Amino acid sequence: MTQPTFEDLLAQCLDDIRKGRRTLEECLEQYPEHRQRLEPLLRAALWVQRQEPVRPDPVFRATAKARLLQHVRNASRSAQPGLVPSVTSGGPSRLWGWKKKTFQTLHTRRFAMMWALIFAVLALISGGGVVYASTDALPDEPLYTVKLALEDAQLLFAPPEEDVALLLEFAQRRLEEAQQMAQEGRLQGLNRALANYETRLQRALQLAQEVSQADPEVWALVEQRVQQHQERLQLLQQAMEQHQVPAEAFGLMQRAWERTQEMAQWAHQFRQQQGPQGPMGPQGPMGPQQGTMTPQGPMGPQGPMGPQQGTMTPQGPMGPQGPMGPQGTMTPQGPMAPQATMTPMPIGTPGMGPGNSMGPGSGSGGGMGPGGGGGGIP
Amino acid sequence: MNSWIPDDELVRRAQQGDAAAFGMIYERYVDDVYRFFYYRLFQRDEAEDLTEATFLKAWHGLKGLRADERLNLKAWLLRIARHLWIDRHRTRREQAPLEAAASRPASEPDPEAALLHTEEREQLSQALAQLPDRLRDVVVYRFIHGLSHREVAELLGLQEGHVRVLQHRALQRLREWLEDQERPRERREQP
Repeated sequence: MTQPTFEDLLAQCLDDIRKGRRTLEECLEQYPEHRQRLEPLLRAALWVQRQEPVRPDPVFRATAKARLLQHVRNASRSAQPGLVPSVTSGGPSRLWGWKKKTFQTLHTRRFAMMWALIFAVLALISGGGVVYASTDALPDEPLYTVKLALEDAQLLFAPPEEDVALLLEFAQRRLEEAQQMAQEGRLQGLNRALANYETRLQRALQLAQEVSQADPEVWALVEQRVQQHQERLQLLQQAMEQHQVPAEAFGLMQRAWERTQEMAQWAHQFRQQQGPQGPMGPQGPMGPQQGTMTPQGPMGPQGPMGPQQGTMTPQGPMGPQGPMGPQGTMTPQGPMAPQATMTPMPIGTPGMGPGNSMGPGSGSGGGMGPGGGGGGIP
Repeated sequence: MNSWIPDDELVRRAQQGDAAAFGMIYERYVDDVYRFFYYRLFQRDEAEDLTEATFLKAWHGLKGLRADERLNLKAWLLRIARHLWIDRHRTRREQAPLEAAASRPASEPDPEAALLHTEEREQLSQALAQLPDRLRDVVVYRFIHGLSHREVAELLGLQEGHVRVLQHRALQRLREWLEDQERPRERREQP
């Protein structure tokens, strides 16, 4: 039989220690001739095992799950393997690309016909009862899926210029539902409502960016509606604090705030530019016609003017970290960031001190993490 | 009572379109998949995107999965993750100049990540970051995901013996790194 190599001994010891068959000391005693080489390597391996590995952010965890399950349900309903989104091919790796693609795929005529048929059948079977009952369904109730599907169908049949208004209205409904869920301590429903709020708002933003060239008034509507959303979010946050909902939902809440804030910034930015410049958009000829826009605009996070030229971050002209932000970059406002005062984000989660309240530009998750100060989240 | 449902049963249910079962699979393995990407990218956003993409691919690949007692769901998910990672790597190489101009900065300040990461976690990231890809793969699979030598060998397409050799080298590099970390501290502590 061949003599085991040093690598084999090391591997054997590691396996034995991991499975509790031997201790490190026992291993070393068994191979005294290798002790000097073996010990530091085993200790290095144990050091790695002892470290607490990273965990995904709970907000991501919950929202990704909601998105995946929504996808699974859609796929199960439609049984269309062709809807598999391509997540590996080219382009920026954020998934909004395929989400948008999926959404657009759903907007085909075939699907419109299918939905129409489904609702016609439902209405016939139940004398309209199921469809009617679903309008009052709440996010953790079985008929809620029908309610969302009805909204989707409404979007399919609406003229394109009404899509943004409809999406914003649906988003507002989500916030109302979320508030009710929070007041009744129904966490699952609360999470679902908030996740769907984010989806609706994101889609509204995409559409607004697409149609605003043709209809400059669209941003006026967005601005007005988003203000209502912000008021509603404030009420929701109060309800969540009063009813001490778990921390997970606060993460989603924060995300909802960020999306709303992003929307408000876009609306404000476009509104300011539309007046004197007409329908060229805030970046003029470099505007959204030239490809995908990010909140930073096509010129990158600082834009052509750079932070030195008076760009304001939502925290104020200097931001909480000084003029260059924590790592020498500006917060994502872009070259034409709104000059007006931003609607302040309300206070943070219960247990968070005032110093940890989340300003609108606090970035993703600022002060919300379990390791955050101010007492943390219960 | 909340009883543990084995992986193969969850897979069977998910194959029949049970979204809740797929949700349980997600809950069970999302940490592992996320870590797979995080310890290669050290970048939260992208690790999240790829994690989500992995589960999406997994959902669409479930039908072809044999759900029996030999099923190793974690290894299967990590294999999907690895394929995505390789694809991403390839795409990145092809599109590097374009992306550099078009994408948002990859290293935006991330206050949440800063809060979440304890010093120890940071140390682990630093330790892993200094390893070459192949050695890091072995360390992550073996000591973070807890896979056996055989499983790592299958994932990497290597012989078990080769995995042991790589493991030895990786641990040597880690040991040297740890000693380097200790030295300045010792110097500081000396009067």
